[in-house]
Amino acid sequence: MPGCPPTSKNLLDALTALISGKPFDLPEKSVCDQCSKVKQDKHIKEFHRTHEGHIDPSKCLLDQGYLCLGFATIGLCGAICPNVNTPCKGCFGPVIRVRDHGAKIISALGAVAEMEPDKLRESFPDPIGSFYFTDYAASYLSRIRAETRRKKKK
Amino acid sequence: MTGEKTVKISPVTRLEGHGDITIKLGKDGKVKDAQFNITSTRFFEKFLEGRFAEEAPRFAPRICGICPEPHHLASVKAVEDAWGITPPAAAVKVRRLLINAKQLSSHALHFFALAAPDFLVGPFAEPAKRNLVTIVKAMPDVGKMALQMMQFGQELAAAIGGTAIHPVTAIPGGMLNPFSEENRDKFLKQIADIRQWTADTLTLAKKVFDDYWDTITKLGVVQTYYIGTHNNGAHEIYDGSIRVMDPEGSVVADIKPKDYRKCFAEYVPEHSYATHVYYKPVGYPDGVWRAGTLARTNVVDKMATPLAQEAFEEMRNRLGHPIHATFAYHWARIVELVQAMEELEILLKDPQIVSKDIKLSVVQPKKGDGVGCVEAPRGTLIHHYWTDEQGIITKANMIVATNNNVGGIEKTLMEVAKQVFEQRAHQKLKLPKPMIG
Repeated sequence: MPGCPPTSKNLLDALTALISGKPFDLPEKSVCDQCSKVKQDKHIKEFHRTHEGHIDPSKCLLDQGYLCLGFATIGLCGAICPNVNTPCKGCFGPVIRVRDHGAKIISALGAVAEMEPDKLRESFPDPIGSFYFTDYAASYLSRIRAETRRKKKK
Repeated sequence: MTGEKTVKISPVTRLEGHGDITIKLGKDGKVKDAQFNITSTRFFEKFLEGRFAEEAPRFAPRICGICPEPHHLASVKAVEDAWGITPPAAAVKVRRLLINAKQLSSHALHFFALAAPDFLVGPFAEPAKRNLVTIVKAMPDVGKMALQMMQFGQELAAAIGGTAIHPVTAIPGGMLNPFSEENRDKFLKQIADIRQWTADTLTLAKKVFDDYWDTITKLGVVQTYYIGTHNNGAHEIYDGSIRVMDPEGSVVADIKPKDYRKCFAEYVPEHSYATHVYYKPVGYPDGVWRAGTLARTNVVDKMATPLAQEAFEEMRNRLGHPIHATFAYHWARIVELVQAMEELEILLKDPQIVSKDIKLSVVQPKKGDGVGCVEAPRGTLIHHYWTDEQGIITKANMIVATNNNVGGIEKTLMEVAKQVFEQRAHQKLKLPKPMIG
């Protein structure tokens, strides 16, 4: 059951499925699919930190240059955070079939950010905090690094 | 008694986190040691290092699922203190609404779900029967009222913070989302019910206290220091000064949260992962203090609202001052529940609560350190962060309610263990016929 924490509705759905013996399938949707904000084609020229400026409540946060992770995050919460003008941190984990949440986010940023690679990298001095808020431990990257550490020790 | 014996309760239930109780008895049957073991580490101070400070309020609530709001707010206040930011007045009101919504739901939860089952079903009833489900079945009106109070607090917190468990909207410089007029009207409509339920809870609680008077006044009465927040002597949970009171009832320190290290020191025990915080000038263990409901109502001169003041005066008239009876924590909790209800009503009726002017446009990170302090339902909570020029956290220190209480919990545990194992005091108490038979 993903989520930090799962919502009451998630628990009710899962327990109902468990008691009635029906399968409980995770949705194909992302947080974006559940979000009411107006989205445009992405042409991000600059990223803002969450305390900077004012977020326009009617528009997609990512379009405004705030790193909202709704596009890469499984749609189970009902888009709690973007619906209260706050960027999604991805606490429900990746969309279905994606195994490395942060890698998915980083590769998508390459496609939507119209920025020089160096400038993009400078915008995120803390990749773990920005891209792997709750699930670094479950990522391929963390396993690869653990493997590297093991080899070094030998 | 033939040999040495260890009594272990593992795990201790009805708490957020992981703990055990270990009581060691000697060959003579005397209590040699009483420990409260915190059996897990959390690492929050370490893994906040390297993060954007404005995102600390997203990480910090994960410390506790029952009281994430105080962590969210202590965290944002610490960053604002480090960066030298004063949020707009309306944002502060919305935050006060958030912390009082949590105070109401947490106190209702604690009283009805964590404490009441032992009193209403009886302390010697079968453990499997001592829970909220039994109360809901046997006293459906009380059970329904309890759940509705918790629901009100949680839904109000969610209307402000996005979600009640791990709110998200507080940001250095204010709040990211205004409190809407629709929400204000929706919750204001329920205030008359909340007022009634709070009054009914106070009546029920006072009956319980009368019934268990012998237990309250005889079992686990322990002299300690006390710590809590006040504003000009009045009870306060969002922003104020910290008072330390000695066991005789004298205020021995009154400090700004920023100066907490003048009074606070941490003892690292061998048997627990949580440090024991104590009053530094006196040392450990003599300077052990307690925090939370009873401590707060001990250190203040008065409550901030009229109905809470009435309930407070009745408690003091009956139990004196300072109150050392550990079971009186429940009484103080109900006094605070009344204040939370009154504070919510005042805030919901304040026209500024729906203001859109809730965030500064320019918020500039800087190198520095800042302290954020609020009162969590179970005690004084301090977040202290150091940030670099970019506003990235380089170091964090947190003193949570648990740290402020563990020393006092062990002292109480030792006293109760002696009363139970050496004097069989629990068999001599005058107990009422349980309300739920």
